[in-house]
Amino acid sequence: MRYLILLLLGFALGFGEVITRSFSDEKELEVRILEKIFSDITKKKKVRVVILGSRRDYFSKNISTYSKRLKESRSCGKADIVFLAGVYRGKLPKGCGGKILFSSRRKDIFLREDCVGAFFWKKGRPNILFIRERLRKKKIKLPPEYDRFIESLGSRRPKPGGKGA
Amino acid sequence: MKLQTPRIDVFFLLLLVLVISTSVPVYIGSVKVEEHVQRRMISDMVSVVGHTFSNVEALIRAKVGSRDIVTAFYNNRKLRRNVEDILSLLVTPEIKYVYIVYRDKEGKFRFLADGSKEDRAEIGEKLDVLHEDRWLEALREKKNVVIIQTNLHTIGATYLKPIVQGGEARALLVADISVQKIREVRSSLNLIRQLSTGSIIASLFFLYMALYQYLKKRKLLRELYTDRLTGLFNRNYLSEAGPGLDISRYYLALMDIDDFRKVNATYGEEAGDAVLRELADFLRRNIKRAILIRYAGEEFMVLVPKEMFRNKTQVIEFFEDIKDRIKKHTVRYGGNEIRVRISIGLNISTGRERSLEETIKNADRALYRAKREGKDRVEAYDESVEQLKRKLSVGEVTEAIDGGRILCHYQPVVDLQSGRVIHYEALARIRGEEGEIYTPAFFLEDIKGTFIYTRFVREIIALNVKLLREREDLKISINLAPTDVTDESVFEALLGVEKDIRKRMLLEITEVEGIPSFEGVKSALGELRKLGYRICIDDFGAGYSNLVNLTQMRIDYLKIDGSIIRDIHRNKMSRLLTEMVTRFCREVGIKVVGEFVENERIAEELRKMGVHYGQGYHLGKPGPL
Repeated sequence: MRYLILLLLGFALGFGEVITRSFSDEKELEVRILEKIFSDITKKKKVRVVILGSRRDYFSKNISTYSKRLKESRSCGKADIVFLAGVYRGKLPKGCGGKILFSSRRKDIFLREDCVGAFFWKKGRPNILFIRERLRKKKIKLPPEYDRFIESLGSRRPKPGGKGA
Repeated sequence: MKLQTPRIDVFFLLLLVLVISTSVPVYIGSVKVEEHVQRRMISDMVSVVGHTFSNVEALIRAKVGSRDIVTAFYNNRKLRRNVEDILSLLVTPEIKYVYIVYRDKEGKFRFLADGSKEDRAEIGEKLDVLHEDRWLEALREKKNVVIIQTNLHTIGATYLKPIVQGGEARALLVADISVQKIREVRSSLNLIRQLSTGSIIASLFFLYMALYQYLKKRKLLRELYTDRLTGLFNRNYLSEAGPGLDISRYYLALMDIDDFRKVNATYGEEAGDAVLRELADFLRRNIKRAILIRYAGEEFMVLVPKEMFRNKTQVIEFFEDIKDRIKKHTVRYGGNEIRVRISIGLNISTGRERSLEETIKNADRALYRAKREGKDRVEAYDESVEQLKRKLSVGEVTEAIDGGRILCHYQPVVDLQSGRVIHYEALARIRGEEGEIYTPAFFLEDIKGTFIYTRFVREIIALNVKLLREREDLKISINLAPTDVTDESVFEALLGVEKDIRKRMLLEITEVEGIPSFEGVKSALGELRKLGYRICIDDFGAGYSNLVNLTQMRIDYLKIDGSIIRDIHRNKMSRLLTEMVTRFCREVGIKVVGEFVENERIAEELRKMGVHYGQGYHLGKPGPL
């Protein structure tokens, strides 16, 4: 009987790990990317984040599950960054006005003038976009590895002249 | 001798092997199947998309003409729409996204057209790609590239086709193949894989548990079979492993520390323990291939393989050496230097006994002998030697008579002057059932006074009469006790012998001193002499000899005892006595025989003294005629 219990425990642990791992990879990846971006924006090891928007619960849960460096904050007062998760219409809550705004939708960059950047999925691939002017305005200096993700507002319709191969 | 180790159930092991041997191939097979299916699906889709992409590329080039493709797409909205419409025709549940990208001056990939139905991009929108090196490879090499996407959740593969213009790849036609189909296959295979993994894990788990139990039990058994103080095996081990032991392959020694109680009494029990530990270490170091057992308090059993020694002498020498080295060894404990001696009982006839217990008992007998004979010695028990030492019982003598195993060995009596054999002395022997020869020392005392004794004497007489009949050249003397000649049945047997045989037969009477009926003996010998027998008094001088007795009996020979003759060349008294007796006998016409003539010096002395005959190993050993 003791063997049976141990066996079942072994099964449960082994398979639970296998099954949950296959579904959790993408969520964990999202959180790890956000964790890296927010730390680099704020230059803090621990970042307090206010999460707003239609996918707040989804991100809130994933952040609490996979990140030790990101802490969700209920109010903007002590928050380092405001993260728009999914669709968020209307004005930001009180106290959030001057905070760094980051979104999970590319669209928000063009809808909200103070949104410094976004992390979103394009064609099934994780994409990051920062707006140079807005980073400058917020006095945010990102490491060189972010250069490929930073664009000027004019780049939305860049002039042709690609270099090809 | 191997320990009876715990066993893992064979059926259980076979089951595990079966499960693992099926699960592992299934698991590996599922991976192969997945790879194969994935490759096949992607290949099929790439084949479909590839042809269409070639047409699309041709169409674009036709529409764009000599203009730069990227500029044309930026400037010509209609062209863009047309191409996107065409691309959208390719979108199916399997082909998720179809679009065209180019690489800008900063090296970023940007959309030129997007035929996708969902997540549609605007022209100029940046696209971060994974495996960027493969994208660049497609542009640089101007060749089609298929990328297997392992890290993306919705895309299984990406097909890239460069649009070449003016010898330069200006853009890439891209098709992202859905992971959906692959995932369906993968999920089916995953189930098989998980079951296989489960079986392997369960099997390994059971195997681990079985191994754990096995090792645990083995450890317990080791503890059970090991003496805590010395680390040697204990008697439990002997009980457990003994029945399976082929004892005939070993010599068995029992070692006992002499006067060990004194060690405990003088230095304390802890010192005694230290001595035991030290002795155990000594044995371990010096008898490498042996099985060492602490058999009792201060008693050790050593089983040494026979192949370590060439013969029995060597094994005895080996243990003699061990004993001597232990004697020289000093045990230091609590500032004291303790020395011990050991006695060893060695069984060098192992394998002859019916059981291990009997083998040990025989080694114990030898150990007892070593103790009894002064300790600090090695005594060996050898079945063949012990057999010889053993006395024969009355029953065994009876069986020998009934079985015709009574015989005589004959030793010559030689004329000391001429060297001629005068006659042979018949020496009684019994042949054992296995052919071994027993001298009278093994049985004579025990049968005296029994009916068997006279039967035995008559048997000897009959044997020799038969021999004398067969060999007319022979004269033979037979030994008789004084009481034999007064015994009616022996006397009658002698009376019954033919006359011509009697003349060639000497009757050697052992010393007559102290016999209860001297007159009776004298009278019987007188009669026998009249019948023709020659009479010889044997062993003269061994007891309180009385020359007067000789004067009262008519005898023909007198044999001086070996205890006198043996010393004749170095003992004046022996020489004088022999001279005196010889002189007397010569005077009365009695022939003198000296026995125990072991060398030429004795023979020479006897010749000088005028002794007529001699008998002994120097002149001839006893043996069959």
